[in-house]
Amino acid sequence: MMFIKLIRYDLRNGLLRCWKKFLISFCMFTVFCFDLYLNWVNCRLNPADLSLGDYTIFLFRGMREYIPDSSQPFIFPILWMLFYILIFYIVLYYPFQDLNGFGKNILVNSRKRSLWWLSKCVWIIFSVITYFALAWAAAIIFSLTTGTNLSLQINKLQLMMLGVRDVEMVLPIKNFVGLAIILPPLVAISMCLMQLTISLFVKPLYSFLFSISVLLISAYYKSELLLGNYAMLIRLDIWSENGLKSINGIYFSIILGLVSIVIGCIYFCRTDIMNKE
Amino acid sequence: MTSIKIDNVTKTIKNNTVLENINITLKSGVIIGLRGENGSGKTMLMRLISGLIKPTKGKVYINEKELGKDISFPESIGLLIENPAFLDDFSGFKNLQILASVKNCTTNEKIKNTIKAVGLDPEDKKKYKKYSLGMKQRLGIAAALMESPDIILLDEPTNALDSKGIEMVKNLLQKEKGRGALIVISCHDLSILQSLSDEIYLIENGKIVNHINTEKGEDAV
Amino acid sequence: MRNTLKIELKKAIHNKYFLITFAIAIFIALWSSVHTFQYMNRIQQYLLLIGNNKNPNHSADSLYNNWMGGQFGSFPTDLYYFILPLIAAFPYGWSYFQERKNGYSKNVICRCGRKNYVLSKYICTFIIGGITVLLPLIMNYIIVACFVPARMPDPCCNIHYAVFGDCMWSNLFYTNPLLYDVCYMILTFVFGGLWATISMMASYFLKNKFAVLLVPYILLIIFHYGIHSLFEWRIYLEASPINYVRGVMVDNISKEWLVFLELFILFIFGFGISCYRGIKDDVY
Repeated sequence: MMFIKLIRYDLRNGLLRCWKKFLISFCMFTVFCFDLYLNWVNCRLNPADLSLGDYTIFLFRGMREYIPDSSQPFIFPILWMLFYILIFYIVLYYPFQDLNGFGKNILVNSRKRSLWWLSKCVWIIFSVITYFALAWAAAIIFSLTTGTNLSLQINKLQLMMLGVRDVEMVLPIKNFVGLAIILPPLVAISMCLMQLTISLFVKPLYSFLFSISVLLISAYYKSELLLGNYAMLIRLDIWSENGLKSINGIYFSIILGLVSIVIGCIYFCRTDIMNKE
Repeated sequence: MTSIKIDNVTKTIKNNTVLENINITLKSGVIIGLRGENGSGKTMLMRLISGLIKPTKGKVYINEKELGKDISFPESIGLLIENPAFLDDFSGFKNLQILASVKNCTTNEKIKNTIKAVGLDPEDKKKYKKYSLGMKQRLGIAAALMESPDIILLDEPTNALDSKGIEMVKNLLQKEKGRGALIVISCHDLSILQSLSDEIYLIENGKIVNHINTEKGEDAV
Repeated sequence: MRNTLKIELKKAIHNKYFLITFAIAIFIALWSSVHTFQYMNRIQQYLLLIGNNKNPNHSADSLYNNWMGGQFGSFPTDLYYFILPLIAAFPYGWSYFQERKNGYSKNVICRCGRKNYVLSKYICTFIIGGITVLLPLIMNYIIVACFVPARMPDPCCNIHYAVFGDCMWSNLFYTNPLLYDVCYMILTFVFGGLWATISMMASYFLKNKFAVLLVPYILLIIFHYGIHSLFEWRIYLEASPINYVRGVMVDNISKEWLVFLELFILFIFGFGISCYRGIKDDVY
């Protein structure tokens, strides 16, 4: 019962009251969709041929594998990185503002530190889900506004523009939808939980720096051990035989998320709570 | 000989009048008490005298020089307004040393004596962030007094202090008064104000509604 | 003001944020040096393998395209420049906000005046922001110079340097590459310093320390996105500082007028707003 009260408190103060941040994110998602629309217009293609699936793959695509070359600089996938940097920023401040402020009273009244911590973890999960829901909503609204269809079928031209080599590979929609709905948010939840746990040990600003570094290294190196790779749909095995196994991404995210929660809980239950960042 | 003249001053912040038609003349060698409820304008008045805020109407003169025009701040002032604020990663003595080095008008010896006078240990290496509330308050008072300023503004100096601390503040302020400083303090405790102050101004809703001369024991207004 | 500036510099250097951020920057610079060393080792082994029968293409590898500012295709280098604005802002960009918020600025202002306080704070923030990004670059340059020869760049091999004919200061690169690198280091210093002062300016508009340090960075990333994605069909010049402080053409060509215009705008915003508000505003 106390746990439900804590979650309700966190959702009210950390989610509903931060509606401006989510509104700004929604505007950014709309701009991202417009980016794809503009790309097609500039390529003299008909943007009405785009579908919701195209907008979705555009948002979550990431980049193809980078092969270091003395003549080819690394150009980081700015849209994909901005997408994740925004959610890292959104979930960064609230737990510490709460702990250093009114939340101290809540913590004491809850009588169990682990409940407070778990409530924050649940708040992160809700925040990330809301964030991704807004991304989908922006894509849907943009599709409706521009007269494109709401099907999740991906245009072959779009695949070619994204650099997928075997465009004849017919992608079962349900695989794509399942992965697009599950994997990016799961990776984001896991990374946000990791950021929260790391900020118990170092200052939150440095845990944010660490999260950005993980994103960048994941973009740089295609590796099963770098979590960010699973958030890039274009690197998964749904597009090519050499792709990363999506199921590994799911396991990795869940395990990392759980480990972060457990380590954070153990540390939080034992640490002194003083006014600090 | 220090004088402060607040000439028909009004201060408005975002359509809120926080001070209205304030007229006061203060001379050195006295302790002025400000009394009023929370939000009545005592702290605002102190900010005004210190030059931290500028009046919307009217003028403030420090030694016949207009604040905000002839001078930006009183030349010799020590203040403790609202909560004391120092650098977390330095000790109390180091904090005061850093502040004192701005004007370079006091010595390390004097700083140490002032820290001792407020009941703290100048050799204590503990960082400010580890200080208790009472210790922070004492350090704040020390910062206001260490340079022997002509004007001393203390906003609720007895906050968080024990009875020994309150006695300490009283003794210190009497000494500063004897030196010729002009002291303005605000306090919720009427007994402290009455025992310390030569004059008490009662502020309500930004206006001075009463002026008591405690020596004569009568209302001057 | 000399006094207040000395005090500010002392405070800045003795604070934990500066030490940690500087350590991170140095670590990345060292990592880049190691990466370059390993690369050069591989090149040496390759040269031994091919013997004397094939063109060793010595011009492809020189100090001037293997130090961080002249390199590409190295993760530590790309990481460093991606987080460079954060490295510049973290050490002291938060200080003005914190002191205004906790009331410490009152103590200082009533002793030295608003103008002295704000100016000292601005200058110190600029210097600290600049040196935090500059010193690791210098360190990396010196280390790489210990094992990579400073061969004069050959215009025929420009593809290995990513410095093309119409790039900013390109003729300097092929005539006096050391001066070229120094110019880019100075550019990085100036950008780092100006960027740190943007956090100072942001403290008037934002309410918490994280926002003061991170919102300008996120806006910069959005700007970078705008230049390189949204308007990539319209803008063919490098307008994003994340790219143009590097001595290589990452995406688009950089031009002097655009670089200096942006730096000037950063200066106007950072200095102008900070000083105007710092001197005019009431202090609470």
